[in-house]
Amino acid sequence: MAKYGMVIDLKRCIGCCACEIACKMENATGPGISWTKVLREERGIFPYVRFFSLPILCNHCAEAFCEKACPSGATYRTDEGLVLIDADKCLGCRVCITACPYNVRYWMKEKVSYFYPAPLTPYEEMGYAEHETGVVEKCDFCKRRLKEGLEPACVDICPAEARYFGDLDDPQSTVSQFVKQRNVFQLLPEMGTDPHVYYLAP
Amino acid sequence: MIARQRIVFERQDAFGIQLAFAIFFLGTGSGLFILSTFYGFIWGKVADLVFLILGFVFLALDAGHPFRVWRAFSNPTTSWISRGVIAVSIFFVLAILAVLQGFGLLPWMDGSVGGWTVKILGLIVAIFLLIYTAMILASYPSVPAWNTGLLPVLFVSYGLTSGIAVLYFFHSLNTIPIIELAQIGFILVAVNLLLLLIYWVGLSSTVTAAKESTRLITKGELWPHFIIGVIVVGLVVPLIMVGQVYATSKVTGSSLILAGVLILIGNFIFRYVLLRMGTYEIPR
Repeated sequence: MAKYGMVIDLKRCIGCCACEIACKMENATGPGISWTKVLREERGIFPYVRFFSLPILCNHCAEAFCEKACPSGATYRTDEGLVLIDADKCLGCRVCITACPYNVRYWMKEKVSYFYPAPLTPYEEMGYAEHETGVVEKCDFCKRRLKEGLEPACVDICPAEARYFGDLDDPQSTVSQFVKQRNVFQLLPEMGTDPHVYYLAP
Repeated sequence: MIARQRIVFERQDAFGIQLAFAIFFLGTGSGLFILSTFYGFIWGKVADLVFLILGFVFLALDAGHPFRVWRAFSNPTTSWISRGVIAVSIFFVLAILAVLQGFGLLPWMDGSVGGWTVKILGLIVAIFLLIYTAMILASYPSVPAWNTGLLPVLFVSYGLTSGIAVLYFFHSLNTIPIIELAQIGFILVAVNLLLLLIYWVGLSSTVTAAKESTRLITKGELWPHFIIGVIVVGLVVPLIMVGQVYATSKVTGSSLILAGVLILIGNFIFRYVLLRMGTYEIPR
């Protein structure tokens, strides 16, 4: 059984946010909800400045606090290491949102149009049909695409090829090669969550 | 090697005023049950039921799907919400039994084995409820201002303080001397204030997002809530009002009631401020 993971090369990432847009298109997330987002900032003092981007998404942690905090068992882990949410079981208590140290879970309070106060467009209605209101949502590594043998949309779209996705248990996969051989790090390692998203240092 | 990560702060917006009401009512109900059991005051236990129901209703309303709350019983091994929902259900039964027992409507009496069982189990679950509401917040390090062992202690203290505040409303029905009520209230409020100050100092001496939370409650948008609402209105003024019993050896019922109102207002604002000041450390 594969254990999915992602490696993001921060040296390659140009902060274009194509991943964020691809994710929105693939998953039809509403305004204010970005299952993956790019945090950006300037670093340094003129003239030695540079632009730094850090794409973040659900880390599908091996020790996921959200899974432990969930009272209904709606958040669960698959054999492939994906941390998913069963929307039918979620009662919308949002304790998982506060338990997640990466703040990458979102509460789908209501279906709001991007053109609010206008009603939902037909395109939005179609996209939102798969979303349930009153529950928590997050990145699922595009599980629908994985079933079709495709990579997650953010990986597929990245023009700088900064994102790599694959089986961390397969020693031949690109991601496990990176994890073994390159200077990778995980976000907030002190939390002890053991994320399945790794970063290559910029 | 760990790459250099900078930390920025992001406010939590998952928990809001409805949860503040829920933990306020549950905390007050639990504290009231403990004190009413100690004093054998039946009307306190009746009021406790009202607080419990209100707490549970607000807890359910706060959920996106209130009718799925029954699902929260599923994961008590790791989830504090789950443990709490189970505890609230057990406590509700025990609180009803305690009221029926108090009115002599059960086959056993107060001093019998059955009576003591209800009392002791009720006290254990009431203390657990006070702790559980804190543990929902304190059990994960994601929001450093909440992730402290002092929070459950503070919640127990706040629960007892608001419990005595409710007892002040019933002072005319109560067999406890009014002076004793004031003296106990003084001690509880003083301890509460001390614990809050320790918590506050602890927050401000950290280097994490907890410091940002401290900034919010001392200089930021929440300072009027915290300084005026929680400390002055909720603790210092009631402390002076009930503390007059030590200076003059007397206290009036109306000043007790006013002190009770202020304590409850401060208690609620504390819960609200605590939720609103929650801040994550976001890595960069």
